[in-house]
Amino acid sequence: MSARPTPEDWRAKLAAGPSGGWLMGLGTAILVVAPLGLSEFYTGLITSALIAAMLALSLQLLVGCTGLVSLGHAAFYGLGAYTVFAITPAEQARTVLLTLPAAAAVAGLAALLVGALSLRTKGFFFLMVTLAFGQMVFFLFHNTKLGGGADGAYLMRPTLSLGDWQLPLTRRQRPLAYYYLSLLLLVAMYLSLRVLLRSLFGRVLEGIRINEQRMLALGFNTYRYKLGAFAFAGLLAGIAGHMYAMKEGFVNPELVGWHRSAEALLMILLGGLSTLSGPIFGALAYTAIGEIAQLVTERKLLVEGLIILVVVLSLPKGLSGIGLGWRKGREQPPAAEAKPHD
Amino acid sequence: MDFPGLLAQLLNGLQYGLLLFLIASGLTLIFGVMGVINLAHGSMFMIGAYVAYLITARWGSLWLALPAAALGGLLIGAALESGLFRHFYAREHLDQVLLTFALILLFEEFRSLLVGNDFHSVPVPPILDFSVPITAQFSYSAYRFAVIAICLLLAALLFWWIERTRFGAIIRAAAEKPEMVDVLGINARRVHLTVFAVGTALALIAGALAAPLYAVYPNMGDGFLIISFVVVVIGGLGSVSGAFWSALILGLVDTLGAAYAPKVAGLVVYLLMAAVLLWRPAGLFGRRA
Amino acid sequence: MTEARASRAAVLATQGLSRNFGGLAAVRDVSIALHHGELHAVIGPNGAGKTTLVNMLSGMLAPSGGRILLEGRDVAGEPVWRMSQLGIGRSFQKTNVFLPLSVLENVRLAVQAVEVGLNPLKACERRPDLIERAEASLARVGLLQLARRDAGALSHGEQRQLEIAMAIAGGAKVLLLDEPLAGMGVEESQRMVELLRTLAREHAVLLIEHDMDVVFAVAHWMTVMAEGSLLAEGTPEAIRANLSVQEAYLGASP
Repeated sequence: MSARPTPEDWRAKLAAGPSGGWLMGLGTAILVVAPLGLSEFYTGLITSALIAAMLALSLQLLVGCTGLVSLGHAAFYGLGAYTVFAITPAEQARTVLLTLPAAAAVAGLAALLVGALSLRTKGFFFLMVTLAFGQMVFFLFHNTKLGGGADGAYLMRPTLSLGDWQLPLTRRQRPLAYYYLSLLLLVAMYLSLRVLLRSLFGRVLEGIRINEQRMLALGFNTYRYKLGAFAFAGLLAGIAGHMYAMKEGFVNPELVGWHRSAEALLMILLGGLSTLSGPIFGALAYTAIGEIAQLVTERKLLVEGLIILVVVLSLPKGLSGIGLGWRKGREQPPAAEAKPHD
Repeated sequence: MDFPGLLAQLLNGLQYGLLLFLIASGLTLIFGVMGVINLAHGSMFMIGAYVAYLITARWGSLWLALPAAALGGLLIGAALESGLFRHFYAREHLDQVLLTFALILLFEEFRSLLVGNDFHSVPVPPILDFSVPITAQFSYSAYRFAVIAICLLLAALLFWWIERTRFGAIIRAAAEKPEMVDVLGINARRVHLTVFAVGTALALIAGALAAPLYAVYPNMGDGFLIISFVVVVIGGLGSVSGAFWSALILGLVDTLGAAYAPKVAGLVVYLLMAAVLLWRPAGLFGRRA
Repeated sequence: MTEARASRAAVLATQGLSRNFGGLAAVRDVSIALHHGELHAVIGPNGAGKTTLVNMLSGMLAPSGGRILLEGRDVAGEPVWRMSQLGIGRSFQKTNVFLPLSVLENVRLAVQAVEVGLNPLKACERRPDLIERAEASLARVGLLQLARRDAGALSHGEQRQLEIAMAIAGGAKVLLLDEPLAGMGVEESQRMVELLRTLAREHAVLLIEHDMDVVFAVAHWMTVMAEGSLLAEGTPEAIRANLSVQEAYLGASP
């Protein structure tokens, strides 16, 4: 019997949906050339959307792929941003070659610690525990002097330099640099997650999402796999946070608040839980809606609340669920979870 | 050791813990019986506080505000349950989180539209606006004593209702095995409606009681909500008695911490939660997860 | 016969195994042994403690007392995933397969679960041996032609077969089969009975089953449980003749 890849590998369940790679490729190509025709404002806006997309993508690893709904994910995003602040002296910028790995490492390590404790719980408990840990981080930055307190702090943006050499950028070119770096990181993140989900590790995550009890019965120590996913997701969120700090030159405790975590969840839901490209579309859509809403009304939160209600109530599979998603819904075998008494 | 100061802080901790219990009990009941994660529960607390503010500002009496909060809570809870939450029961946790988060946003915005964003203070009712002398050197706010008494009374009523009445037995059964409720021919909808209404009312009452103590301001529900979550985690899901003891413990720890070790006070609550999770992932009184 | 059996080393044996739930003793001081090449059926009325026993043997429940010896080593209280890795396979009474995944992927996961020294970051295609072993397992139960189908699209009987395939895929030494024939039609049942006979030759099988015809057809050894205790054990013929067994089932001696 010759070795054939499983149908799952061919169908690439968690790939970009039926449009496959070419839609993502097309989208990337558009994003590459877009800044040439856009004003600085819109370039900055799309950069923010790309950063949000990275955050949403990192959360998708937990929610869409493994079935772990975390309300404290923004904590790692914020930790990434605050790490840049922490290691950058007041008057001198650091190289991105230092700040980026540092942000990723701190966020990933924090996620490892938080995950080690939180993953001892499931379902509702897990949700609340992650929320609580997120608030703990919020408290750290809001109530202490660690990060400039409640008002936040400015920082010297990381530079694209290596040793003494620095990429010469004019003031007007810097936003472009942030744009392309964010785009590059987003693409890298997306591709690496594609690879991860196709790997043996990714198969286990999928099994855990569908029926964790059965995975345990088969012999998988699911805790370890969930912890690995949690830590990696935290690391990716840290990278997103780093780019936020780099682009804005500013950090504040709202970055780690649970509102930010809930917004990340919303972006995932907007884009669809069953694909990897979903969160990216969701983040772009969310940013766009936010901008449009601001033209109409100052009551941004009201619009946000209404959007969430509409989306969740009428689009159970998100935007990409309208005929595009591959997954056969979230059907669970009889003995699976999702009952109140987790 | 400053004894009167310590006594004051212990009483403050007790009072804070009891308020937490009122909020957390609703949270744990609603999840225990219906399986719904209700992030908007903190907004109920906020609404209770604003009710107290509005009534006191208009009619000058906090005593009116309490029954108003209770009644309002029952009505709001019933309306929310039958109009909205009823449809969430079958939903995934993710959906419930987002939907109730949306409710928080909407509640805050409506509050902002109706009442504005200012901070308000609510005066303590004149009858209780004095200090009760305990010892020669120490006297404690009569109002806070009253809050403690009222909360303990409500807690006792809640326990009696759950442990001693037939309806309470149904609630406990429903929390244990939701399918059984239908099998036994009990009107599940009525159970859900009642639990949700009562839970909501408790949160509103807590808010009304808290108004003179903590001031009334936007997003005031957030802090109490999250600590209430910690209370439920530590106490165990669906366990009202667990919520009671863990609320008291947390209230004392947090208050004493704020008084004697202010730099780390806020952290201690979460460290406590982490410690409990390491030792007992289902909470102190929870069933095995 | 019993002496010869007792002298063979048991693959899995319990000594005085008990489990209490609050005040209720669901399993009381049960000592049984499973041997390689033997199909050991456990029968008894509902509530006799059979499923609780299996839950303890597979690690889903920790015993309240007693020992579980896997090839001589006490494994009582080990977590369920550890028991699987140690070679205890299980099929479930209520079908518990991964419905959205293909039949092949279901079994491939079972193979991967017990694979030692695995690099989880490798792509799935780079471990074709896992797929091959999964296919072999499917072939043994007769489901290979449905490998590409989604598990959710299978008939009930086919899903029960899939349960077995998943239980044996990891090369388990011990198979705990909880009512594998539940809900099956006549023809499917016959196929399953044949499968059970083949499995018994290569594993130590514990079978819980209510269909007495099936039990007497395939069992080499039987244990009768009632109200958590071991009522009787012996060869099928001995059990059939045993009066107290008849009492437990019929309520009174004839």
